[in-house]
Amino acid sequence: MLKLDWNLLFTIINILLLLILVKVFLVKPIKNIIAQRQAEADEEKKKNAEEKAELDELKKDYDEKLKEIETLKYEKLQEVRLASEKEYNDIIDDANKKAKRITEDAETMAKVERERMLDKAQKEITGMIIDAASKVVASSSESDQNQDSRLYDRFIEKAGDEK
Amino acid sequence: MNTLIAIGAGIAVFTGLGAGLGIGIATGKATEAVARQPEAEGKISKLLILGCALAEATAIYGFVIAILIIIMLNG
Amino acid sequence: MHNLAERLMDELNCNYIFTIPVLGGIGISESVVVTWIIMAFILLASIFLTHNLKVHNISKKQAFAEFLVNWLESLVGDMAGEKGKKYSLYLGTVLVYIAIANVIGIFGFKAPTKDLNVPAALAIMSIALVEGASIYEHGVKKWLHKFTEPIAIVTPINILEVFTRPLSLCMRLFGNVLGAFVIMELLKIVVPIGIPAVFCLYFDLFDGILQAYVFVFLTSLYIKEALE
Repeated sequence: MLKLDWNLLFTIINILLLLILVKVFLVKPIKNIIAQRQAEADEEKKKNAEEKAELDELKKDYDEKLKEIETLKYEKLQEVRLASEKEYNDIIDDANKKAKRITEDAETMAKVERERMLDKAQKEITGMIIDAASKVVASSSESDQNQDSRLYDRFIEKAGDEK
Repeated sequence: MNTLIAIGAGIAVFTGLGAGLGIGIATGKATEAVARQPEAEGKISKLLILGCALAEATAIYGFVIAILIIIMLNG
Repeated sequence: MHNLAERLMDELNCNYIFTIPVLGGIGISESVVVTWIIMAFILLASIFLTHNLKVHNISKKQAFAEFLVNWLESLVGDMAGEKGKKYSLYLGTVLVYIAIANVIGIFGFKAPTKDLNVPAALAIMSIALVEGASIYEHGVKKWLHKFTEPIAIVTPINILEVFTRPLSLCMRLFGNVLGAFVIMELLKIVVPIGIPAVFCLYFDLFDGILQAYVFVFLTSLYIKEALE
């Protein structure tokens, strides 16, 4: 029991052999199978990632299309709105023009009427003044009559202008 | 001669004294540690068993020496 | 009383089973033969466990085998640290071997660790692995320089440590198994039935596996220290 001999060497060889046996028959197969499973899991993961990427691509495409449609819709709407606005503006313009013309017509007519009235009044007043003046002046010299009539005319004209 | 051998072997086995003291102290400290932190019991007991196994070694050395004395001197 | 001592001695002695007739006869001791039996057992168990491995739909047997390998690897890998992971095969195998060798006494064999040759061989292999790992990791120059660390004056102690470490490993394992065996034999003589079964549980099973663990733990500790 308490002596060292060749058996020490045999034991070392035995244990080294045991190491090899364990490595070849136990650890290696198990590691292999775990590595295989890991590889499979990795592949699955990769596949999943690829599928996801594809799906993402599809979604992006779809989104883009949706955006395009949206833009198109907006453009069309804008167009329609612009057209309608133009029409509306045209109508308003038309109406405005018409109204303006009517107002102008009315104004011109009123002016003409007033001028005519003024003219008439002027003539009447002139006549009246001349009558009055000739009555006043009848007593005075007949020769000055024409000159005075012209003087009055000028006066009245000025008064009318000032108005 | 035989008496002397027996006495020598007995003295060699006295190393058990140190191992006993060491294991006792270690166990006491471990108990304190568990009382202070009951959640760390698993770790502490693992360390305690390991420490005890190491402390036991001195007693084992004494025992081996005792056996050696008996066998070598008797044989 | 003399009869008892003789019986004890007879039990303790490891006899030669047979002799190889070269160099004047090399005796093959019982421990080597029992080691062969253990090797055969481990081999058969390995073949049984790794038979018919599948990637999917694994059987309970395969699950157990995978669990065993992973558990052992993580157990000894944690002890040896990050760099010492590549030595986990040796540590795990030695752990299993010593554990089986210590408890094989229950089955009527003579425990190989009771023969001084086996613990000595294991301790020598362990210290060779530790120093080899150190040289592999740091190179010869750094390995030699490590003996003078932390200061030059401790160099003799460091060199001495190379010899005391395997001696301590060897003696711890050998002494524990021998002590347990002697106590068990004495107990069996004093109380033949009942009590020995309880103590057998402690000395053969618990202490045997614990000593295997301690041996591997210390070896991995040395490896970890050597790789720093």
